[in-house]
Amino acid sequence: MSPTVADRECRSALQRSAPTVVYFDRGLPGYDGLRRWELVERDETRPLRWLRSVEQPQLALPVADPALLLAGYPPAIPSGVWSRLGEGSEGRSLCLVVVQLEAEGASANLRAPLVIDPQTMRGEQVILDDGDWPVRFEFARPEQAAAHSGTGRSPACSSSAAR
Amino acid sequence: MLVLSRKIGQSLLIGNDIRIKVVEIRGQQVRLGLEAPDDVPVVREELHREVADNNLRATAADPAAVADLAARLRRHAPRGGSSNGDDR
Repeated sequence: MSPTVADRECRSALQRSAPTVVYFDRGLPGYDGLRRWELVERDETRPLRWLRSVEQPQLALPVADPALLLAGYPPAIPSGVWSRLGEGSEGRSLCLVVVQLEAEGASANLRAPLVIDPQTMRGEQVILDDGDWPVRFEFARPEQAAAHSGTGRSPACSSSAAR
Repeated sequence: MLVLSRKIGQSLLIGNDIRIKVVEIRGQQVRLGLEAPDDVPVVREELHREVADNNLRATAADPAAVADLAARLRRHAPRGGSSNGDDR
């Protein structure tokens, strides 16, 4: 089996509507003690998904595939992340961003993407050093909703050259 | 909190493998050099707090409003669902 096919199977495993539990070694910022989160998909909120706490199921964050929102993302991920997620995680990991409802439209946290290795089912919310990526990237404002329709390209997360 | 004085070029060790070095002092700003093992993420505290606040707010999102947003994304993204699985 070629690595590409394996990648695809892992990716589709994360897209099934059945919940999929991801282990966040350090929890999420703001929810440091909560380590197990499941990716949940609901018909009424597709193409968004929910990252829901296993320990406290009333907690769920809306998340999006960044390719739906902008091109040229995700940026380089520090190499330490890959050693924390597990050998081989680079190149097969998925990237999701936390979505925030704003007064008008919504924003996505591009500064701290969720990187998830679909094979080890480990994840981390990576806070990037690069100040060019905003915590609140606004999209879907009524006047600009049509401008961000995604490119259809969804590159796997890659490592940064530095660090 | 432990408070120590350091001069430029001097360092601190935390445990055996975390080193913090004073690289430069310019007015009110101190530049620090950090060495830490791969399993220790290093992040500016205020940025960590901003991301934490953002996460806390995100979990308070009204599901009906998220459904409205999703409906708008579906209308404006011709291909509909997530594209994470579409391999190159």
